[in-house]
Amino acid sequence: MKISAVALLLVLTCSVLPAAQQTPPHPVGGAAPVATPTAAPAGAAAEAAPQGAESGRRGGRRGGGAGTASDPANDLVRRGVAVNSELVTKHCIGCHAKNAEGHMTRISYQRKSPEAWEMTLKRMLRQHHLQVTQDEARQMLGYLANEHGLTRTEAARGLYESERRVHWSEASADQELRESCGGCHSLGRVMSQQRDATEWKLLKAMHLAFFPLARSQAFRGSQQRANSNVDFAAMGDAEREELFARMRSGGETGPDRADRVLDALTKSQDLMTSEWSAWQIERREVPLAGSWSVAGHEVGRGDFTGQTLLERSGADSYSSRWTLNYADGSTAERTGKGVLYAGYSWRGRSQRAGADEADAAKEVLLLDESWNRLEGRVFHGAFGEIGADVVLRRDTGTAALVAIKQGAIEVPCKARVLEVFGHGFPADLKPEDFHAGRGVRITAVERRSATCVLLTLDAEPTADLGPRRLSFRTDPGPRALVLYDTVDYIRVEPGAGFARVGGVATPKQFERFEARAMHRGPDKKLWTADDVPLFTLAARWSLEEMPVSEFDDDVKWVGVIESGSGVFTPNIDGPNKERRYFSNNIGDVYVRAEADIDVWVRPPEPKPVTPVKPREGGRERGADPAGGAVQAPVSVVPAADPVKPEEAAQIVATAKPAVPTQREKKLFRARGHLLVTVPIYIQWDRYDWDSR
Amino acid sequence: MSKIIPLNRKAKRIAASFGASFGDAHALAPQDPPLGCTTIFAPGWEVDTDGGTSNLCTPIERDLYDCHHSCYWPAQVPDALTNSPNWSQSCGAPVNDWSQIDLVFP
Repeated sequence: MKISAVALLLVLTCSVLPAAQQTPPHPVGGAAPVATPTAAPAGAAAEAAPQGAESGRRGGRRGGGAGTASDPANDLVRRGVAVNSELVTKHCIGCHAKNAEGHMTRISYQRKSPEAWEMTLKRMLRQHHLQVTQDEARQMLGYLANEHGLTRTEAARGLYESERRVHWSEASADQELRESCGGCHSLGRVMSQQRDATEWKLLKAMHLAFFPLARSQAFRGSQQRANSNVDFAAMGDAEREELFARMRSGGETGPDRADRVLDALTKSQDLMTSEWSAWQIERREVPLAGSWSVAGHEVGRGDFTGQTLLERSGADSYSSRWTLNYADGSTAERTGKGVLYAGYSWRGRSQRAGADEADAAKEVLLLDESWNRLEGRVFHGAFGEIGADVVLRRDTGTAALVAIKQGAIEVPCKARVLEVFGHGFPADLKPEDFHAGRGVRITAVERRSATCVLLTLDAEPTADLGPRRLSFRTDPGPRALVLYDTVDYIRVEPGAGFARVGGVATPKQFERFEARAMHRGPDKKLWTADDVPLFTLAARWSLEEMPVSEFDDDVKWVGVIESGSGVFTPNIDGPNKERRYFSNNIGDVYVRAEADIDVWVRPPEPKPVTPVKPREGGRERGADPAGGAVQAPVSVVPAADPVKPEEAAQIVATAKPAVPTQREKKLFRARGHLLVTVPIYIQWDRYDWDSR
Repeated sequence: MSKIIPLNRKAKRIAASFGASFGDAHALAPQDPPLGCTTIFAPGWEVDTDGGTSNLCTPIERDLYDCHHSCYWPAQVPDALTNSPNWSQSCGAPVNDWSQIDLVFP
């Protein structure tokens, strides 16, 4: 009744509007607006105009059911996701008209990650006078993220945005996409959305309305920029008129770079996909309740294992209890709650018992196709910069091997004890239940508990180096064993650190480093792509100047690194009067790690035998008796016992390195780069409820 | 550095400051700036075109109004047009009153 009353009002309102206002303006980019069968031009206008979201507030064009549905162009069916939430309808209908199919303008034609919906909702609160309580906002977000959310593969694409990862490169993304969008924000924001063609174009319109300079800076691209060296005198009249017309229209005579990007996004991130349609048919509440084994790694703190118990507290909602055991022997108990959005995207929050809010860590995890594995990041900090990568594996009742503690095994070794973590390990374990591949023999097994087993193993000197699986009965196990003969070098992780000064006006962004022992890999060359990480180790940390300018003194000001832990704490924000030009405490420095490691001395490589042809006539072909250059190497192999090429190849293939006999304590050093930069003053996913 | 010979006074001073370096340790050159708010930067904000900080506006507080009022870079600084019209009112001159500068939407 309410809608039809609004519609009637609109018929009256529209009838007194000037004719120009009744015609839906074309969205920027030139595509004709596609309306739903019952959506009237007035509604379409609210939807297609750049300022569409605001139109309701201004009055006059509110709603969308009015009148002229007879236009055949409007009969084109625009597919959308119907809004079934009373709360969303109630609060959003003021600006977003709803048609007979339940489609609301804008809302029904895009799907997004929970974080992307959060930013939208907070923008509506901030700028469009949305009046809701925090609880209502939470419910609305829950509905939108669930019913207008992303499928598994869609969520995986932009997951790093939700995970708030600091160390992630977008350099491999499409260049036009990077230039059009990445100049102001991460591409993860783009990748966390699915829209139809009209909606993608409206996204550009929204940006032009809110941030007008985006047109010249990002959207237009270099080809559309005005020509600064135009010789007007040399132009013909017609040519000059055309140029002036182009300048008057803001240079937009055709599709610009952003339009090309949007066309590509319409194809790659369309609203309706086969995966989404399948999920609509197959959807159910994915059951997560039960016990999950956790294995993870936190930079600066090392590996950890543990268990998470999830207990269902409502539809797709769970309470969680985490028990984590860290490599340094400490344990942590955390309790919290979480929600599974759209079947695959877990968002949770947990904290230690009795700890304050600051300790609370967010969990962003993605469920895999088998529903038995959750993978993602757990993080906290003002910028989400302190975090751990985690994998959760469901305890299905079958014994499974989840993780190996310190899986790097020195070759050769005798009676090396390996701690193996999993779930459901039975009491009748035998060494034969485990298999570590060629050259490694498991001699004993000791069951500590259903989740922890100690293996004793020998590695032969001839065992193949590199990563390999440790399998257990029917479980293939993780490829987490690494065999190595010696440590070749260490490296600093992350190799390019990133921190922000803060502490006065804005929060600090911290950085943590760890040193990782490395093996040179099959190519026997250091610092190549096939090098194998072995284990993290305790190092002594310090900062060192990275000289890039004449009076470079960054290392004095940027902050301090803890010698024992590799935790970097940046200095405070604001101009520093003691520094040249009042410079901020920002800069580029090296992070230096030093560590002593007790390793095998690698014996010299066996010399490959050079195959030669048997001598004929006492002289090699190519050897110039007149004293010229000898082209073929002169062999030292006696002529009486020549090695044929095929035999030589066999010798090289079967040649094993000699068994190392000597150990040494060796000093390893490595450097990483650290960029300490200025604060970030705006965080779009935040909203200050108290200052409304 | 061993293959580069400093020619002028400035280069010699930079070379001299390499004294603390050591030869056997590699450092990864900063390849792609890691993900901050964005991975692509123009000079004047978080990272300069070389991926460092030496060419940034000094101090950055001198640059704030330019980005704020012209909406030059709304992703890093609250913009005066739509989102934070009153952001700068609490701070008359950022270089002097920088501690009044606030993080928006805490």
